[in-house]
Amino acid sequence: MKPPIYSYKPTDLTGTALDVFTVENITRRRFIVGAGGLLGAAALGACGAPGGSAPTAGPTTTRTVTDMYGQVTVPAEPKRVFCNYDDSLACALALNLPVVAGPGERGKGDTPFPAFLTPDQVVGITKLDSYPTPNLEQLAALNLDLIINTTPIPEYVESLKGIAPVFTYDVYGAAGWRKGFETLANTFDRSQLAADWLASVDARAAQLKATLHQGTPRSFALGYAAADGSLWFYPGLPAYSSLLNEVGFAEAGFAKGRTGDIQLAAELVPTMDADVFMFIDYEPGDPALRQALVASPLWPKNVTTFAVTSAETYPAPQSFLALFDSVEKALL
Amino acid sequence: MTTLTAKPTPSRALRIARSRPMLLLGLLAGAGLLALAMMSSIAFGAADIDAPTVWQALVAFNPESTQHLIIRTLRVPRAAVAVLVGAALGVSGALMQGLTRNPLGDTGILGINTGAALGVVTAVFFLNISSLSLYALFAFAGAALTAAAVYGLGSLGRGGPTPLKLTIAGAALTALLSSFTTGILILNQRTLEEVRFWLAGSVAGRDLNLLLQAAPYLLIGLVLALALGRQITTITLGDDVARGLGQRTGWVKGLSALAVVLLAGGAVAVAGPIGFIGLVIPHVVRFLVGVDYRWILPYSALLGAIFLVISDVAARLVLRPTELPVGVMTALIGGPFFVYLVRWRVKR
Repeated sequence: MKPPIYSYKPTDLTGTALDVFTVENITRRRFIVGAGGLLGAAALGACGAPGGSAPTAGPTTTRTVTDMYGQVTVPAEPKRVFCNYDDSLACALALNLPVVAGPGERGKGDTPFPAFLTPDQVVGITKLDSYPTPNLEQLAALNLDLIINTTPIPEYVESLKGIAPVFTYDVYGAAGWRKGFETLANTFDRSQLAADWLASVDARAAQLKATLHQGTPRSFALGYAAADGSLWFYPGLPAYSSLLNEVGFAEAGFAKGRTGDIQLAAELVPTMDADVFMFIDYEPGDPALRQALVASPLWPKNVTTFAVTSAETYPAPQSFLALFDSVEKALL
Repeated sequence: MTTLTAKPTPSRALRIARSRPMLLLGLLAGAGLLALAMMSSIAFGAADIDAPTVWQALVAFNPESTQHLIIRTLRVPRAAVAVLVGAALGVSGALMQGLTRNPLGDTGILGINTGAALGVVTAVFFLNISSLSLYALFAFAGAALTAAAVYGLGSLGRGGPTPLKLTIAGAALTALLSSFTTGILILNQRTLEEVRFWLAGSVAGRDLNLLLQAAPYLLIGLVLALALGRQITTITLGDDVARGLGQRTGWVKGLSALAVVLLAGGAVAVAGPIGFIGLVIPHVVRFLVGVDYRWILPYSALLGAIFLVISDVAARLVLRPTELPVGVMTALIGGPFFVYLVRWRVKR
């Protein structure tokens, strides 16, 4: 007796035979579609990790700290840190945190890093190619163990949390830039380093204050020149308050008591009652607008002007030291 | 698409109001209004300057006086720029509505603003330019190239440049170029910072040199447009009718498009993209003077200029001493007015 031949014939609930996908019934179209899909998947896989896998952060002890959003668990001694903005990048480098990636370049013509950072300070730091929102795939490939964030947008923070612990602090805090810097330092046991930096900033500011203002403090303003001939001031910038409070400048009359962004329309520029006006330039600096404004017959002749870079206005100690150097060079 | 045609039986009052002497009188009255608007533009601004000083600055200029300098170097050029740009936008909008027989037509259909914006943004990104005169150069180039491309695409196939084909080609290219512009602005913070004021549209800070660079294009465009008034009126009746009346529609459309490029390209080069004038003013003018483009075009020039000058004065005063870009003000005034106009026409 011949053994029965078992043949599986799938049917649907009504008993109708289903078209089964077997080797026997591969059509040319199915073959092309399938092979194309496999090739596509292989190509995508090959694109995934161009430089091989990044070093991993390795096992580490953690601690629970409080940031802007409550309690977060971060590595006690982070090994691979991403800073999402140049201000926190500068602060992290000042505190000797092991930064492996920073924000993308803000634009053509800008230097990859703030000018006050020396080349040896930025060796090995990857600048991501998307600004202002980092490329999450790039971030994930970096095997980070900490993200230092200064962008207080909850949805943004949530998206970063899937990659590494996120520590968010208020870099432009109402309590002043020092408070933010100290918060970052205290979180990672670098209080002494922060104290040393702040002491050097204090000393430099005091020295500048003593040499700049022999008599009445000079009044000053800090802002941008716009293409329509107007000037814009940002009293909320830490650099603004630092120069007022620490270096002893007086606030220009037109800005007194005003908060938020202040526009000085082109025809009010002659009324600008500041002794010193500091233009904020992008790096490497495009002086065309500034030069046109100063060359105008309406520019008040008694105002001393000079340019500082936008990086010199970041709330970070190296930035302030650079700013003080620029002020001294221009005014003394 | 709606064909713009006259109502078959205008009332007697309307016929009198649209008679030739009355229309000429209206032009004179408009010129008077424009003069008043210009005087207010010169008299009012962020700085407080009394009327006698304003007058002195105009007739007995003293270069040592700051107030005289403000009048002569800031306010007079600004008023002149507003007049020319407003006139150019009004006329180019009217031409576009006539050419495309589309009541929502304006220079945006030819991609002028989008092309100009991409020109400026690209130049800032790749060449690091930051002066208004260079912005103007690249804006004009971008506007002209885009308009030529839209017109070329809209002219493909049988029948040449039909309103429908032009509109579709314009919409497609506008979407494409807008995405390029947005991409550059998102990727490049510096470019965004530098051009954001320009993108809002403004006549502030434009000096006479800049105006003189663009004036030849604007004036040639105006003369060309005014010379085409009769032909545009015929074209609004439809291509077949126009051809039946012996008109060479291809030439008329081509010359009209050239006038639009000169006018709107020149305007956007000087002042950036300013919206609503090209859309709203021709509707107001059509209500006042009827459907004859021999009158619509000069009236559009006049009312466009008045509207932009007044909007600019309002932009300076509404948040004084802070100034709003005039492009924001034209939208604030023009938007509600346009809605009112549409509702009024629907009710009638």
